[in-house]
Amino acid sequence: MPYRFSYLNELYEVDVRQEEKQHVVVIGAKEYLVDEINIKDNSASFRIGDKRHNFYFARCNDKIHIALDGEYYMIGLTSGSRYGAEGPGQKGDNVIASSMPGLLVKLSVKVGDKIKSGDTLVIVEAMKMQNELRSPVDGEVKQVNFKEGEQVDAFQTIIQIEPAEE
Amino acid sequence: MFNRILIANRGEIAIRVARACRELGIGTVGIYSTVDEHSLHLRHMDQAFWVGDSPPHASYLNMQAIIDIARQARVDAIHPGYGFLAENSRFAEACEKAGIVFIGPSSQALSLVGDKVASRKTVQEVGVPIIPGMQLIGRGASVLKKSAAEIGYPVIVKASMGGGGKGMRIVRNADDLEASIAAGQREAKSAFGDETVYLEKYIERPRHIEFQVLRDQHGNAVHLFERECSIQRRHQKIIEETPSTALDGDLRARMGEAAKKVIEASDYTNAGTVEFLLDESRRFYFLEVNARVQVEHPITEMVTGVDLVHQQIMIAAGERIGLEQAAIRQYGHAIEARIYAEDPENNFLPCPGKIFYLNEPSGPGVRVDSGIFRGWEVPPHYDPILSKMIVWAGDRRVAIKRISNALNDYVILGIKTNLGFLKRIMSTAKFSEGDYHTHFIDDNECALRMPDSGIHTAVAAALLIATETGRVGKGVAEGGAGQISTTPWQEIGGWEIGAK
Repeated sequence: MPYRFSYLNELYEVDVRQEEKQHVVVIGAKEYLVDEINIKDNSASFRIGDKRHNFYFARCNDKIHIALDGEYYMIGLTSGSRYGAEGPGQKGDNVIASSMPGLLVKLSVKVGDKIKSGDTLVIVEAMKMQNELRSPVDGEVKQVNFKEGEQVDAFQTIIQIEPAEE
Repeated sequence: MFNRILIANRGEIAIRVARACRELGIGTVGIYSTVDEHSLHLRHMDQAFWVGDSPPHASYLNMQAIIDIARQARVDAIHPGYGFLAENSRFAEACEKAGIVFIGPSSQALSLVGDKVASRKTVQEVGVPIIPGMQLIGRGASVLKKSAAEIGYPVIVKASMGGGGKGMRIVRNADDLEASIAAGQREAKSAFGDETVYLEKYIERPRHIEFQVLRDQHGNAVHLFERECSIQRRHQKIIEETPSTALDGDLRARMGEAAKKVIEASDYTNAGTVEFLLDESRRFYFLEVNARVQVEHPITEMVTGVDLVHQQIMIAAGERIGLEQAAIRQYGHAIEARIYAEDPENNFLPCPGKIFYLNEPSGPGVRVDSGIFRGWEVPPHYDPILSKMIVWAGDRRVAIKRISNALNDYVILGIKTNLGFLKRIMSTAKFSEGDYHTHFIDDNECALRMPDSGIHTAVAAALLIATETGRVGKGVAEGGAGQISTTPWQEIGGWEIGAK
């Protein structure tokens, strides 16, 4: 069964099959020979052509984390054929969420408030940094899920907005 | 010498100080906040005391609680590390009053070097150059106009109470001055409640170069050469190296002597750092004194062989620096990269969270000063620094190679870090040529982006191998495949890569 993933807004369909001692990774219409696969605990290596790639991986809840050639990838997994977005910007324009976990130090609005695009709605603080979360749209505050002084996780919905009619 | 020292800090620096104490045969007392109950630094202490709740003001900034623990544990001295209370003259004074040695300068020297106006005056009196215009702090708008012409354009308007770029305006010609001062005043008023601004010469493309100094209580002072700290994000250093590619022997000697003059004029004792800006015509200007052990102190240790924390402790105990200036040499090249829990692809926002896999590099010339371990949850309350990677090599070219490879081997899974970003810096042409200044990160934005070509194949392959070990035939994945839980994966249909 082919797997699908999106990377930098492009959708990829990948599959793997075994041929003798090699593995063939199929990405779209292209095929790559993958050789010398070694896996131990959380680390693995393989070779494509004359380049050896070492990588480390771990799984946590619905995500797989991969560190490959010094870069870091966090891959969200969703069940079935759905592959919804993970980042706050991709959650849609109607939701305010923090991309870092932290303390909600300021909540400037309440349910029913009319807001304008660019208004600062929430300030989340972590590790001496304050991050202002602004409204991406004009509209009205539909729901507020946290109070000032509470801890929020990354990507948790803090505020839901009902966008104004065009 | 001291019998016991309280280390009033956490993370890698608390561990660094504890190691020095053990080497000198001194007992260690650690402190921890509620959230730090299981932190790594405590494993390096002979005794550990709870100091307060997790927020810094309740714990690592809580002077009374720290002094109380120091008394209870009968310590002779307190080492403040960096950050928190390290440069707080009231804390140094409280230690002095309690009869405990503060490992750092005296409270008077601390307040002098902590006062921007007073320290610049002191420095100017001994003939060390400061940035023209800095003495204008607190003057009115009409004085500023006349001064701008004297200083020479471009100038920068800065808020007296300022920081973080607020109230700052670069002015390139006289026509724009009045409007810029007014705008700076408005911004300063709203940000700091005080509209006082001042002018100084704007230095284009400066390099940030600092000198390590040591001075004992008997008046002996030495410098241990420079650290080049121009690679900064949000005005905070992330990579440092020594020697600097910007200095030659003559300039290095002159700056070193200037640094010594600065600490002598301030009657400063213990280890300190004198910061300078260097402009494109290789003129240097005094910036400020950092009255603490610096985050980047290890690179100086690597090239000089002098243990700076040992020196701090011995100077505080009243001993003489056993070093002659002429005998201190820079040997080889050292680079440090600071590992932060932050996301370079998202404005360097901090990323606290749980580390569920950790691999720290090793090898010839590789030193890791780390405060983390596998399974630890990085708390959101403190500075996001996780560890520091320092390399030494015989020359700069090898040092860059060595740190790039070590960064490749440094793996932290579970939270985002700047590891990939640091590695990308090392592979830029500007860095390898040694031709950079404090705007390096902004100027090289494209080269520093996460690579997005050619990597898909490898990522895809990695994904498949990591998840599909059930399908990977025996004999290929021998020795490890069985250790990966594969069961749920076969049913999962959609993935996406969350990296932006």
